[in-house]
Amino acid sequence: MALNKKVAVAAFDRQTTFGTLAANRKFGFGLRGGTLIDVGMVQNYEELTLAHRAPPSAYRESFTHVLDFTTRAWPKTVAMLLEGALGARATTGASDPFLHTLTYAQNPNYYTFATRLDTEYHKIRDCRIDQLSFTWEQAAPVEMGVRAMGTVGTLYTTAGDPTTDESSDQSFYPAGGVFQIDTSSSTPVTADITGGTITINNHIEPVRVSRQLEPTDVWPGLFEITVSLKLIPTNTNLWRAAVTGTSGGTAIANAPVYGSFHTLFTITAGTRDLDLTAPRIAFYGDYPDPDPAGGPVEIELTGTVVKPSGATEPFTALVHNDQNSASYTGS
Amino acid sequence: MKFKVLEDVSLSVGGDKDQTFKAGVVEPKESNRAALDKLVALGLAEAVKEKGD
Repeated sequence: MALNKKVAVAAFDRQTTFGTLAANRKFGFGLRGGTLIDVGMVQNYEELTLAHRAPPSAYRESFTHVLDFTTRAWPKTVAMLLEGALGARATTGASDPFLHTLTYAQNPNYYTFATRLDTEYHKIRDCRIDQLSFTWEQAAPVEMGVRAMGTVGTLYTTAGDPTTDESSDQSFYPAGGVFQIDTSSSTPVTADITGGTITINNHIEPVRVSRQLEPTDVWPGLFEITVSLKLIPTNTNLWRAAVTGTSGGTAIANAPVYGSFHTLFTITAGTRDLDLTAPRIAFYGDYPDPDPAGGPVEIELTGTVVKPSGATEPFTALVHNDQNSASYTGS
Repeated sequence: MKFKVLEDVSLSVGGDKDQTFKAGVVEPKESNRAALDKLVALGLAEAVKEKGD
């Protein structure tokens, strides 16, 4: 009997204690592609002369446990993943819909990821979300990319499925949503956005010591959020403002020009939606090329979120779903 | 300085356990000060000025 590639699930829960596997597989989902588990084994042949031409032995340098996959963005799981990627969650509401406000914190949480491939199960503990991305093309459902890195693998562990598997639920999609951008102010306005990618990157690095092959910790580096939006404009004023500083400008601006964006993906407005905003982004992009084949001009504007002054959050994610705060406290 | 929490909220900041705040005036302590500052940043709480502040 072979293993079936169709039977594959990833599950996770926040850890209440670093160094201890979460007791539960709180949320889970099926995958659209990627890697369920990569132990990242670095193993080399010994480079040594001897009385034979074959290498004499091998040695191991390190393991780095990484999960890197794409899936859809669902209301329940996306809140926990955004908390992992950003660091902080505030939950309000007395009943469904609850509102989860996800924002930056210096030290993101640790999670246990559990994966299943047919009849085989694995767990990685002390995972941090290295990268979380949301990509969409026109009105097709949002594709979510998840990359997590952890410390210690418990391979071929006991069987178990997620407490809540969202695979069969409706995932977020763009239709009925809000898509706004401005390249020269903190107040984005509606534009004919056709697609884009928003990527939260924590630049997680393994902490390595001599006494063991697996990392003792995984540590965040630069907090980098990249926003790339494609749009069909009626004029190139957004590009013009990014370059000159104003939509009527005729000369380049010496100082960087900061803009903003706002996207809202939805299932039912106000009760199941995913809202992403950033008030300070220095956008850039290419002036559109002509094309003998004709057609509407599309431009792509890309920028990295920078920290606003004062206490203003650099990036805010709002999720409405039916889960209260107890669903996100971990195990 | 005290803080006025504007609605019931459960808050987790950077790996700390959730702290729950009921709507109303809260006395800041060392253990909840970072959480209260976060709530202010999110617009879920506001500082209440007292005499002498």
